[in-house]
Amino acid sequence: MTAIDPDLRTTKTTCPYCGVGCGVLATPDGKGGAAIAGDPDHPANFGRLCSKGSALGETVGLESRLLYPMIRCKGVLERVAWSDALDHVAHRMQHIVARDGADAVAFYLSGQLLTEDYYVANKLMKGFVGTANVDTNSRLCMSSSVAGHRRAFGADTVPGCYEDLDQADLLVFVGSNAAWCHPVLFQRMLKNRQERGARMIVIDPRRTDTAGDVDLFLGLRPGTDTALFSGLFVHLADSDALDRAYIAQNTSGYDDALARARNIAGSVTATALATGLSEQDVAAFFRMFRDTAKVVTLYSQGVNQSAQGTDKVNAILNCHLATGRIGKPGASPFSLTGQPNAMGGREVGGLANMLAAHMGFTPPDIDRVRRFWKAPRIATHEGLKAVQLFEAINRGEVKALWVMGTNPAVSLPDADMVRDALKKLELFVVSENVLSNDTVEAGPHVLLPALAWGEKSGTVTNSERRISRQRAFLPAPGEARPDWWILSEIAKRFGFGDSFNYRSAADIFREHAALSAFENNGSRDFDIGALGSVSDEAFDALKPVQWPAREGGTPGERFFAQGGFFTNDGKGRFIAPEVPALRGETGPSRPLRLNTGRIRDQWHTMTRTGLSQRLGAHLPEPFVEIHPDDASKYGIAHDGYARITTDYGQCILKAVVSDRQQRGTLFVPIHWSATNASHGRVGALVQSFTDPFSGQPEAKATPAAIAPYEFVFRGFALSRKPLNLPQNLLWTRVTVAGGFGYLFADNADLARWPAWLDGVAGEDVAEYRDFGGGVYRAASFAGDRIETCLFVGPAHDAGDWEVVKSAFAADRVTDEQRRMLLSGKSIEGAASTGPIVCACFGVGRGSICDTIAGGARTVAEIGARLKAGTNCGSCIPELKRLIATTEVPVKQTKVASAAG
Amino acid sequence: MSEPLVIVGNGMAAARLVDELAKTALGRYAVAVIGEEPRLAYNRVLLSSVLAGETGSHEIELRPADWWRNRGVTVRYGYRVTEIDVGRRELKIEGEESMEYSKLVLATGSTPLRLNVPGADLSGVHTFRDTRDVDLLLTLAAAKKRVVVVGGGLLGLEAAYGLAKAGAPVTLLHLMDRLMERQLDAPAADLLRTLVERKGIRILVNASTARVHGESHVEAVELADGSRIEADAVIFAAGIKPNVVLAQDAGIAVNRGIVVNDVMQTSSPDIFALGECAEHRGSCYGLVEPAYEQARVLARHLSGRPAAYQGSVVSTNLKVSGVSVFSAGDFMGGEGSESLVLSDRSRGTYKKLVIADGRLTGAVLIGDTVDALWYLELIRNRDKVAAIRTDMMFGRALARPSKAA
Repeated sequence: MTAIDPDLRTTKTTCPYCGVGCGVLATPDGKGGAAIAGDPDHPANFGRLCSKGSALGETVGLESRLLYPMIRCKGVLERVAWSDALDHVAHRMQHIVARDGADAVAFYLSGQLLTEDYYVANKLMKGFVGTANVDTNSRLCMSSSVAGHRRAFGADTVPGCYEDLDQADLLVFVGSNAAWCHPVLFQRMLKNRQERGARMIVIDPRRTDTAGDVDLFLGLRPGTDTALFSGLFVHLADSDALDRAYIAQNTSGYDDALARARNIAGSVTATALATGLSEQDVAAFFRMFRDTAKVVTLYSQGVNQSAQGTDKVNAILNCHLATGRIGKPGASPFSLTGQPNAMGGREVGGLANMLAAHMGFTPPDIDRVRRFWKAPRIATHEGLKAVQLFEAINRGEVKALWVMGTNPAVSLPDADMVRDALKKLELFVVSENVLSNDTVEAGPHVLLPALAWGEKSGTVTNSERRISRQRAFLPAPGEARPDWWILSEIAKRFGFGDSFNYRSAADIFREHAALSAFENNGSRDFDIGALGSVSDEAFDALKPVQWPAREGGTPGERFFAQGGFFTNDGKGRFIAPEVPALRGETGPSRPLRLNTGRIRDQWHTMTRTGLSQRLGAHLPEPFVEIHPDDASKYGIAHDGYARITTDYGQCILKAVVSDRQQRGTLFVPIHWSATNASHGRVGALVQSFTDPFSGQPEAKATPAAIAPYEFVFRGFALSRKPLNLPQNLLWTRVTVAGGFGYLFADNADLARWPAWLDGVAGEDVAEYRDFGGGVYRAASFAGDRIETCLFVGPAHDAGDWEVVKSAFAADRVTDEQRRMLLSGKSIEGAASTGPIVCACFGVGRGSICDTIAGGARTVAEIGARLKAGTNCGSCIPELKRLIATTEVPVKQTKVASAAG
Repeated sequence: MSEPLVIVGNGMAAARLVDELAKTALGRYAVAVIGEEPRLAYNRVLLSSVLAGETGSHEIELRPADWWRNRGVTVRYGYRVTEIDVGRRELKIEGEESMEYSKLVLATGSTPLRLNVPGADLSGVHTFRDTRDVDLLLTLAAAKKRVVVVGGGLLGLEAAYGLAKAGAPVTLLHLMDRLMERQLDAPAADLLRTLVERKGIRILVNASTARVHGESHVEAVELADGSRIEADAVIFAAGIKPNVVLAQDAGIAVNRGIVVNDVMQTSSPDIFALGECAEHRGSCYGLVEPAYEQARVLARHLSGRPAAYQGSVVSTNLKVSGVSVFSAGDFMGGEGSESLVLSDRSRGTYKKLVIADGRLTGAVLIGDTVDALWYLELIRNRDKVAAIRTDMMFGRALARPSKAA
């Protein structure tokens, strides 16, 4: 009989990845890990999880964690007591503020922070230190939507709800690869499509997996979204498809905006010309939008992450305002957020151009917040937005920076400049989970260990304004503390103990809720006053709740269907956008446009997803995608390496030649950093032009050049512990089952590898040398277990990483396996299952192709045989591609044999 | 009436020649075999296995008596031929009447070398060549006599292993710095030494035997460096010399061995030689495989068909349980060649393949000899190996997966 340990009970919490905000059931295994399942009761996901969420259990280990406060002494980080670390930070900050003024210090926060952490950080800086230099990585992600919403609605209101996705008849994706970036919502929309026949349109320069088999794919030229939606606006006006009553009663600015739209794209022909699309496709899109009342336009980074991102957002909103398709069931514009709590950060006001609780820097707002906080030094003007903040650091104007839960040395544009700028700081503090990332390596003076997902407790808000609890299900490790606690301790040292005397996240949440309702009376969209007096117990038990949740109000209130905007006159605004034009000039030396984005199984800079071996298996190496015509023009070979150069930096990446990529453009994923790849810091390539309203950078259109980069040797290493690879090597680190994997390419003499291995391996070593053939392979063992594997070979024959990985994953190898190990081939002839396509069940491409060749011709049949695609479904587009491209042998007709 | 064909020597080469003749020239010759050893031909290669107690002495007989009888062969064992009278085409046999021949084949084999050191003729100094030697060594082992084996080649290792297995404390002395230096490169020999030592055999390399001590019987072996190894018996296994005296006395051209041409013909047209006693194109072979190839060629020639022996690509196999060794061709891999090496010492594996001009030209295998014959075939066929280079080290199954099924 097994006694059930009460500590191992299942905890309901919320996923820490994208803005869908899925409910997660976490059951600790008592050994530091946890079993993860989707929460069937959570309205965001109803039990589903994507590949990343499903693998959360693999990411909660403590191996790479920062567990103690550290201060740099004579160049070296040394462990110190919390009180010393806090005294040091407080003292240095006060000194700098006293000497150079409050604007010489700044916080750079993260959409990973809980609302309560965000609230305390924001309150401390804007109310008590006296600066609005509080910005966040949401600046890189969401701020154009925020700015667009505020221009059109008078507030940063997302009018859509997830139920709209179930009820819409037309789903228009603009600059959104939801299939990979919001997989659970995408599956929900596919269900609508299957059951209700909803149609899908994808507008994207890349033919992403979202565009797999949609009704219409519009592969427009980068940066021309505004032209397309201006054309649509004109078309709606000219074909009498407007909701004139709605426009008249609830909006202003219609005439100017339409005139501008006409100017930009006055007809189908003009739109086609401006966007590079065919007239037929443009007309089809216009017709479908015009004729479908229940239309949701979903937009994401392709819209936001642009120097004209705010105009793009407003061009979309114009079309919804003009048709009154806003805030109605199944009809709304819908910004999909990229982070678990970007929305919570916005609610708190954790952006340099917001003050607090959806209030800005107007005198009445400033006064109201000042009174509520009893703030001695309220900030009275906007602070520096992320890109400008780091430029100010580089110029030496901002002298103290505190980074919390984000990795700006990787993720900001011109990231090499950012990394260098960090070294100029007088005080550089990082609150982190991990012991090593590019920002931690950039020389902080103080490292503060923060609680991670699974340990911290508070609230997050998802894309549909739904507040959910993140709950702790693991004990706090080492001396890690909640971010709000760390900030409150600093506030006390500044002498503001009375205003920061929080005992719990619930305390903070109540204050946050009270501020949202403070002198609100329906004048502000964000109001969760109904939760202002929630008890500690009720906070613990809080079920997912959508705002507004006004004191005494009716739940489920929708925004804007009947007008009621948060502008002075209560009217929504049509905005006249600028003529679309990308920033940064292409030319002979920079002929291409570099696009950036996410891949299916990784998250941001991989400090968490990088810990999962399952997630590392889909696309293990940083790569650049290029159209076949460009590839032949620039001499790029598929699976070869290429150097990408921009005016800001360069990378060397694996080349993927694909006609899914548009001619003249390149695509690179954003996830790799100096911590896990030698030449994959993509942020260093990205230009730092920003949107004039949102401050969001133009991260998807940097002028770039590409050239082939040859390596004589390729190889990989597998090890139980992290390895220090030789110098002058191109490498990528990948988490694999049982340890660490390294994929590399090399031009140095092969002879350096035996010498290197000698320093790494123990006594028991097996070796294979064919130096004439350019091959060196070796493995070291501890008993029956592989400790290290090293395979180096010519580019076409570096050994099969998948096969060797599976031998490495095993706890013991048989004598026969050891005999064949250095062949790099599977002895069963079953060979390798190939790169992982279905991350949820670890199903490889080889197995899938075999199954297709064996007669499975639908995704369902593959799922029935291999389970692939039956969990999160985000591999289904890839399964379909494989079905379409896998040859099926002609079936042999069975002939009954006459002879017995 | 069939032509009388006499084979002198009753070993493996003779037996194979009879077999081949029966296939190619049945009835043409009246074949007689005369041999010194007092039994029917047996598989000499298995003597070490008999010594080790892994095979019974009676089990190694190549063919039963009625096999010889059915082929009309007169087998006379236990007789020594003393002279060839080339002019009269006659053989003189000790204690017997002379025997006439029309064609004569010399398959006289070889004799173990005894080192020319003081004490080499003492009682207790033996060689390891035939079944009588095996019987004697088994007696020594049974009595737990301390044995020194001189010679770290194939024969010496097999003798040492057999003796140790049979229970004797064995020390093996080898003149050179590594075992089997004519078949193995240094890493292979080093691994082999480790593996053999694991069997309980003490091995001394760079050990030059200076003398054998003892009054009438062996008591110790003294090395050139003055060190002394106590011993009850000494086995010389340091090489062989072809048995050429009979031919030499008959005026037949002899070098190290009896000189033959490509049809195994000696300088005397009706006299042929094969096996360990023969020297072809300057090479004397001490292995059974070339003897078998020579037998095939000779039988064809004697049956009047065209045939020519081109020399053998020799391979060496050492198979003492748990230690398999294979070596073939240019195993050192000199100038202009490339070496592929797989080494896993704790698994007891060392494999080296030598490639020159795109072909496999040599191989050394320790521990893992599963693919030895395939490598030998590749070496002999001189096939280009570029297409299988990446996988060939790991065996035929991987490099040449069956296309069937």
